[in-house]
Amino acid sequence: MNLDTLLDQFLAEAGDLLDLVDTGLLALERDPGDRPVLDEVFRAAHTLKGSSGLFDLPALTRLNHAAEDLLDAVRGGRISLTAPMIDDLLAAFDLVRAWIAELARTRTLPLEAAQDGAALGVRLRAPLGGDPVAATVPGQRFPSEASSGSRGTAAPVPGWLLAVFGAERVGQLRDWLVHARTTARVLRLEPVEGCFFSGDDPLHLIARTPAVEALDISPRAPWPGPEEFDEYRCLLVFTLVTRATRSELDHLYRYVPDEVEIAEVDADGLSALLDGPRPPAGDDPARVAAGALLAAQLQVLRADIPADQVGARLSSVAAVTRSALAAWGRPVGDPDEVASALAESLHLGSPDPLTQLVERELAAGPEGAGPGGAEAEGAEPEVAGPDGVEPEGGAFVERRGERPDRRTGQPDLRADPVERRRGPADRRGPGARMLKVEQATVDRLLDLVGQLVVAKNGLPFLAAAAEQEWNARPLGRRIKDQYGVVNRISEELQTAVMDVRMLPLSTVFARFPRLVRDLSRSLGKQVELVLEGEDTAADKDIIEMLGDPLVHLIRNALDHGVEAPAVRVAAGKPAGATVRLRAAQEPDAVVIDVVDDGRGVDPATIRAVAYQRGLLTEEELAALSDEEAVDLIFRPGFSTAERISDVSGRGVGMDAVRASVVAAGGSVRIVSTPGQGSRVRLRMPLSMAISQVMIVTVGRQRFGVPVDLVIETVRVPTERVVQVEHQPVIVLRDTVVPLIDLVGTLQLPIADADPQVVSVLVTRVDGAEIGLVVDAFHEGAEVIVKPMEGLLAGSRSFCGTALMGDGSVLLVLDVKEVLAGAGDGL
Amino acid sequence: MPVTVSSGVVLLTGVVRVDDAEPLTRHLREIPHPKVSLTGCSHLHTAALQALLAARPVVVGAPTEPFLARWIAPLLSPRADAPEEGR
Repeated sequence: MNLDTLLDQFLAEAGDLLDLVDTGLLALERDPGDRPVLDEVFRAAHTLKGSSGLFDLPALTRLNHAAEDLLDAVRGGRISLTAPMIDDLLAAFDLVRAWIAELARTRTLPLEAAQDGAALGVRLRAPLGGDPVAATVPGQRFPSEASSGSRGTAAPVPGWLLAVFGAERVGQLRDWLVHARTTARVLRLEPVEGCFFSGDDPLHLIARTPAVEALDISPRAPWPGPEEFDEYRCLLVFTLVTRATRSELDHLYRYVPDEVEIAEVDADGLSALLDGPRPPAGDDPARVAAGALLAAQLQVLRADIPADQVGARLSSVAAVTRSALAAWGRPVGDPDEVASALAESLHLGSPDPLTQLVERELAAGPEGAGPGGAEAEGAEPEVAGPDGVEPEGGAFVERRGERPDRRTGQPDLRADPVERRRGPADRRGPGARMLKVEQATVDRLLDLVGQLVVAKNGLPFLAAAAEQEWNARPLGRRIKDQYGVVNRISEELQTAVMDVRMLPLSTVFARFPRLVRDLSRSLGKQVELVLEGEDTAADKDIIEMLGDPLVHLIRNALDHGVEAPAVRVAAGKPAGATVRLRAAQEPDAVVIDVVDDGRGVDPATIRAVAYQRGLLTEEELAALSDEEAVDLIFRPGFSTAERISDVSGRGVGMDAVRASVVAAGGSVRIVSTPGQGSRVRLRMPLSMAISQVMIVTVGRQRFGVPVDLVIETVRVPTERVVQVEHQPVIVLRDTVVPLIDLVGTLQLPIADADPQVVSVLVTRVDGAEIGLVVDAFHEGAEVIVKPMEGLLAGSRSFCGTALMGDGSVLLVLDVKEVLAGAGDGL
Repeated sequence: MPVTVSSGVVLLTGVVRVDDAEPLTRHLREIPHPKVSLTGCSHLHTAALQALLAARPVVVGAPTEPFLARWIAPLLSPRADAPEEGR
């Protein structure tokens, strides 16, 4: 997910939230004591602040923050809401609304935002005594804890402390507490997996925590392999020991009360943890709360659930149940009872199996004896010192593998993406509903569509069989009719799924203003970046692969294209250069131009360098047109940079650009006018999921050739094939087309083809027309090309395999590689 | 650019933000035996830290920013014992 996309989501959401705040504030003006309305306004303000924190918009975040603090103080009963406060709040949110509009248009806040916002912020904070710290209620993990957390009483020290830091360090901590006659606080922060998307940076909180004495950061589960690793899923658990006071911690972590657990530790508590039997955990507020949660789930299950929400409701109940059970010290094992009860419930469409499970667990009560439950949560076995693992730790380590991640609860959450939004966001009012969907879900959908296309393509074979083998022409015709219907639906379905995968190019363009700003500064050049056509959409795979090539191109433009200001002025150009990043949609492609008005590429220089590097001989160079010479910059090993700068010129730039663009089915060309600038044009397919291939027979085998390479199919009499320099060619409309015999090139058995006629598939590769000699042509087909696997993975002649409607597997030729194998110099 | 690569070393400089985690992860994945320098880094977003913890690159440039130097560098050092508490 990209920040720009997130910003769009934020903007879409902000409108709704502001509406909610407005109506709420007006209602409060009439009745300041309306608690539900106040809560709603507060939540909306809180969400606004939280989401705005994700972007680099300090003025917006600060103003939202001030408004939220004021509302929070009102909510906490510390001050009562007055008419002037409501005026200020309304003014603040009006300003936010204006900023949002500006953000949507220009992606930045107005220049005077900081000033305006600060002025209002001061007014908002005035009733709070102007001190932001005074404006907060200490966040409590559980309400019941609020009054009981007095300092010094030896509440049981959480067992995870031992698991995280090991006995040795806990012992040292105890000695220090004894010595200093003081207490410390231990804090455990387990952010939800999606926290990055709501703008949280847990490490930032940790870094701001004062007086930290020990810190551990560990993943809550073993790291997934590099393939599964998702950098935007927060897997970390933070544990620290600090001398900061409880109220400091409560204030600092006030926005993540559900994710943080803070406990007071003193020497006695640590001794108990280290040496003695642990006190019964019956009074542990976490356990009490877990019990209440379970009871609440039972009520949810027993209530009437609207039919269309059964799945979501059951999934969320299962997730909560799992967390509650974990807190009870009964981590769900393998087999996962909750999951199977959920599966059964979903299968039956009835909450009963899940209800029974919850009832059973409630009756059984929390795990009373022994160290389990809350202590077992999420610390890392590797972290416990090798010598420091007490028996408890050992038991913990064993259980660890079975413990399902209480936060993850992935299967359940996936079942309902709406449910997945955490926090106040899901309480927001009606408005544009956006559904966040896992990318994997869409990919699966596309995969299924692909399979449907393949299955659909089987129908014509069936029709043919009905006609020919069973002599049932009417049946064959009806199958064909039906095929037409299925075909239309599957095409529409395919388009619909493709649309879901379409993303605007703004998602890749977003990073460039910053890049250009930083680069131009480090290069001492003045460059203005102009983005055009960011709304142009393309398949997400294309969007994703475009990032790196575009970075290379922009860097090249700035490093090699754009001249230093003095040079530009001397050349009669404005000192500031303009680089345009332009996207446009064509019927079957997305075209992206990177245009600069720099010095351009001089074909003579390119020729000289190419010769110097030994890329081409003098004769070859002489034969090149200027345009072809400029194209040499895409050759591997070509770099004209006189010095290696930190920006580009490592000699991997342009050839890597071409390689990745071509691999994605696109093309890249450069047009340059020396002294006036260059234009690099990328043409990318709109999507690369489903491709059209032309099927040909060669040496009794059928192969696919990507249709976009095929110009035409011709059958010419054998005598029209002539030899030019040992190369068979045909002359087609005054153009000489060299012929490549696929049978020979692919080393296939020679088939008994018609000796009188040659079938030629004319393709265009890298601008040149090449004829492929095949035995026969067949129809075109839509296929999903899968990469070659297993033994064939190294085969360069094929770009992949495709499953055909009749169940056979088609090898799809990589024409460029075939030509490269057939002979150089073409 | 907070995330840059120079001769096989991933350089993290300035404030490494959430959207820098993606290029960082990619570099760590693509460069065999990646090395990383935190010397110029003033803040590491959690996502970036997580990418480092998961990939465990060799840290060739120790951070100078106090929090990173005190608490984060030891977590990234190979099998070093966790730092002892100090006053």
